[in-house]
Amino acid sequence: MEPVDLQMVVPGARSWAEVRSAQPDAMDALFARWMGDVLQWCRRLGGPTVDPDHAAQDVYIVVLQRIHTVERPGQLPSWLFAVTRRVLAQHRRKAWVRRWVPGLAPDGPDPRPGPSAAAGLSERARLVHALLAELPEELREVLVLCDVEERSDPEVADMLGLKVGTAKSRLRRARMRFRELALARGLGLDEVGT
Amino acid sequence: MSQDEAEGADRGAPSPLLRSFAAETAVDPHTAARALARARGQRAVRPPSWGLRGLGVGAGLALAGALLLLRPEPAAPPAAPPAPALAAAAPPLQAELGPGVHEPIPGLRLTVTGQGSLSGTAAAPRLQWRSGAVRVEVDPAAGLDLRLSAPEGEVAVLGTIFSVDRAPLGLAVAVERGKVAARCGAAAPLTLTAGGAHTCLPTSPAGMLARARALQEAGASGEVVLGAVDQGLGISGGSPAVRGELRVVAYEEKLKGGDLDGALGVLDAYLAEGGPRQDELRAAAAGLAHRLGGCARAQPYLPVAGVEPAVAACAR
Repeated sequence: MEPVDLQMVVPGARSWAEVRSAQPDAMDALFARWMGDVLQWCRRLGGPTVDPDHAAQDVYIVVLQRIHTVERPGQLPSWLFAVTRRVLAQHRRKAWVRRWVPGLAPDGPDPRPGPSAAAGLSERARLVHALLAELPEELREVLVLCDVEERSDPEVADMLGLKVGTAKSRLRRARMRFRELALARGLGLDEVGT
Repeated sequence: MSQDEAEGADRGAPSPLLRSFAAETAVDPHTAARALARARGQRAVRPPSWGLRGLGVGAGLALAGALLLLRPEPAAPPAAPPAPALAAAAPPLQAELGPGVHEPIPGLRLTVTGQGSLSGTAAAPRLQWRSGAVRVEVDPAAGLDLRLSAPEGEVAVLGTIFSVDRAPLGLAVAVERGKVAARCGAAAPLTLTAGGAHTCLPTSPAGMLARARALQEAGASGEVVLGAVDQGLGISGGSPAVRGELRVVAYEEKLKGGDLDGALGVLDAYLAEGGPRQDELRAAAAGLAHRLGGCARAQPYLPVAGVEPAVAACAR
């Protein structure tokens, strides 16, 4: 059973024990499979104040430190998503602090400014970012996982640690709220959807 | 198909707005590979503090002493400090450290996202840090005499958790548990407690040039970048090429800030100092001078190749 699970979540890894002990080869295999997803989550869920590259790097470090706590391969996707969610929350807090405490730690190790990737997004995508940022986190996550990443309901429920029915009802609420926010910004029904 | 799956298949279409957002924020394999390379290498960052809970290092960690000494930046990492005589009988260590978690000896755990090497002995490990970040967990019960050295400084520690990140911006030390006394250059010693962090600036013109460029890349304000340039030029030594490049950074920042006279002044200093990009920057100076004062002001820089015809005509 485990080898099947293992090859699905970390293709090329020899054993889950090697992954859990953060062996370099196993970590290479893990990140080759998941870095794209992590970066994508950071881009889509981080909001306008978070640098997705920077956040993905922090996720990388946390994974190296904490992968030993993941008991089974099947837990990896939801665990990685949870790590990313926590890192993003921390980055948002930091951004908030930087906003209100100018000059904080001027000689600190990381004076990099706001999100680099956001600068390359179209005006419309930045608007979506802003709309998503207005949603409560629980709605934002389910909307991104279902409607942006097009994951199945059971998969989303598993990643968020929810029952499938709960995930579905959250998706309904998220779509409704997103639609209200988009219409309030003057977007047309053809863009927002019915 | 279960009821849930059936409902899932019929959950309706996403908003067109979200579909276009999905396309625009999708990460291609090349971008993911680059992000991974950055995470592994130079731009590694310190771990978020929430990740520290529950680590297998004993509670009540006590820091016996830590010292951060700044010394002139050599071209290559310095040799590890000698291990104390008491440790001489312990088994020798020799290992290159790359990204991953390493536990080379009991009581020492290294989470590496950069590059370095390990030497010394099992009782007195010596880390030579070259780039990126390392998180060091030392169990005080192991009685290790661990020292970490990088060109910018050295940290000696007996039992604590701390991170070091060597990047173009400098050497950043962050303490997670315990207490560290740090000293950068001739500055007064600084005590860092848990949660504290400090960056020792580069100590050579070349190091300050790397910092200035990193600040530029990060989008720091002109004032901050120019401060780094001034610090770099204020350090004695450095090749003409390095000092010249510091002036080029200053030139770029002054141009960006709209201070054209200041930018021309920087170019004058560059040309007077004999930097290696004479022709290119003389042409830039000629163009800038022409903008500021026409042919009369551009004359001293002419003739020079690579200028606009209107400027070149001033030489006739």
